[in-house]
Amino acid sequence: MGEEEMGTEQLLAELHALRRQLQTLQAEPSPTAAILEHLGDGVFAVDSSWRLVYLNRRLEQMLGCKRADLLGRQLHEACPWLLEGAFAEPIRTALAGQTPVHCEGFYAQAGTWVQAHAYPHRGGLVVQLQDVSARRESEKLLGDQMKELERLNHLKDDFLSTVSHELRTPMANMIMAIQLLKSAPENKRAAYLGILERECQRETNLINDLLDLQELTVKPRRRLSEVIHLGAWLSMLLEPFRSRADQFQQSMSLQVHPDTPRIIADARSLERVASELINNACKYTPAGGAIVVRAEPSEEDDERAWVSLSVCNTGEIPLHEQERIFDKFYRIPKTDSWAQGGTGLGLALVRRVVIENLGGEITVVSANGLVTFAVRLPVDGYSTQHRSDKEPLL
Amino acid sequence: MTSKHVLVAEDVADNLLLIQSILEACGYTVSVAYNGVEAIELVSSRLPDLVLMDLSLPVVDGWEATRVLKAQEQTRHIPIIALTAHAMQGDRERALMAGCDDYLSKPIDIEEIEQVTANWLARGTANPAETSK
Repeated sequence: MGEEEMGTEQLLAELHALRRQLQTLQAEPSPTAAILEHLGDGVFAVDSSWRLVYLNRRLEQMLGCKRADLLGRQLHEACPWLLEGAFAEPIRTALAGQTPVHCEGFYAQAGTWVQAHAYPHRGGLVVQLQDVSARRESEKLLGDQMKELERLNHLKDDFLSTVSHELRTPMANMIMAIQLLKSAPENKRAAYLGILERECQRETNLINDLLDLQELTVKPRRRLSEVIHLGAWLSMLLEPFRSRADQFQQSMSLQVHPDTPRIIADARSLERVASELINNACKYTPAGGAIVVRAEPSEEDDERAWVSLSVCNTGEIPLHEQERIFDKFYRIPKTDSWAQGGTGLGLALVRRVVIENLGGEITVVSANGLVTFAVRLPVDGYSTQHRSDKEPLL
Repeated sequence: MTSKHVLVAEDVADNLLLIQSILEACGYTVSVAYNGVEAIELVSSRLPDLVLMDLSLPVVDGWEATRVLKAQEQTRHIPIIALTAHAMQGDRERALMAGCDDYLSKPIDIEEIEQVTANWLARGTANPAETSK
C-alpha cells in the first residue's frame, strides 16, 4: 500500500469513528441533563425574554401540565402563578440584574411552601424550586411545643410562688409567738403556746398534703382493685364522723339506692376521697344543718356502667367560686362556719385521686341552699383506655 | 399623754392575738373587730388613731369597709393599713385604690408592724385632718 493511500484510508476511518462518536453523544442525554430530569426539586429555565426553554419532570408534576405545551411560551403567560406573591419581585430582579436570588413563599396552586433559587444564565434564568412544606411543618410543631413548655413553666412558677407563700405563713406566726413567749407574763403563755401548736400542725398538714399531691403527680399508685359494696362500706366509713356531727348539732344520714351495684375500685383511694368530702361537709355545715351521703347508679356512658357517690350538705357555694374550688390552695373565705381552716389542697388532692386512681370524675353543684359534691365511678373499675382527662400534672 | 389607740380588724383568732400582743407591747391601746360590719361600727364610734384592716373579712370584706370609712366625713382622716394575704402586684394597687393609706403583706413580720404603725401614728399627730395617700 502506498503512503498516500494509507493516509486517506486512515483519515476516513477516523472520520467515521468521530461521526459515530458524535451520533452516540447526540443520542444519549448528557449526565447533567439526566440529573436534572430526576431531581426531586422542580427546575425551569427561561431565556432573556422570559421564554421557557427548559422544564424538568418534577416541575411538570408540580404544574400539572406537559412541558411540550409550555416550552417556548412566555413564563407570565404560560405559568403566571410561578411569578406571584413573594416570588414575583425576587425572580424579576434576578433576571434583570443577572444576580442569584433566593426566596421562600407559599404557592397556593401547588399547595406547598417552596424555597426558590434563581441563577442567572446567559441573560436568562435557571430556577430551582424546593418543596419545604415538611420542614415548615416541623418548625410549626416545634413552635407549638415551645409555647406549651413556656405555659407549663409559668404554671410551675406560679405554683412554686404560692407554695412558698403558704409554707412561710405558719412559720411567720410561729416566730412571732416565740418572740412574744420570751417576755410573756404567766397568764398569757398558754395562749401563745396554743398558737405555736396550731401553726406547727398547719405546717405539718401542708407539707403532708403537698407531698401526697406530688407523689400522685409523679408516680400514680399501683391500683389495688377490690370489690366494694357501697352500702356496708359507707356505713362503716361514716361511724367516726357521727359523734362529731352530734356534737355540732348536724344531722348525718346515708342513703343507698337499692339498685346500686357493687363496684371494683382501689379501696384506699376511695376512702381518701369519701373521708375528705365528708370531713369538708362537716366543716362547712352550720349547726342544725344536714349532711347526706348518697350512693346510686348513674347514667350509662360509653357502654360502661357507672355509679354515683355524693355528699350533700346545707350550705352554698357561689358560682364563681365553684369554678375555682378544685384549684390548689383555694380556700373559700367567709363560709367556714367553724373557722377550722385547711391547707386548701384537700379538694385538689381529691380530684387527682378520683381521676388518676379511680378513673372517675367529680363535680360540684350548689342550689337551693344545698351543696353537693358528686363522684362518678366506673362500676368495673379503672380502665386506662377510657381516661380522657388531659390536664397537665401541675 | 394618752396612749395611741389602734383598731385591728381580723377574723382569724390566732393572727389577731399575735398582732394585738405586738401592738400592746408597743404601748398602744388595741380594739378588735372580727368582721367588716364591726370594723365600720367600731371605727365610727371610737375614732381610733389608726386601723389595721385585713382585706378578707367575713360579712363585709375589708375593701368595702375601707371604702365606707374613707367616704364618711368623721372617719376619713383615720389612716387605714391593709393586711393582705397575697403580696401580688395587683393587690397593692387595689388596696391603695380602695382608699388604704398603706399596705402590709402577710406573712407579717414584727419589725414591719412596729415600724409601719409607729410611722402612721406619728403622722397622725402632725396633721389629724389630712387625707393622706
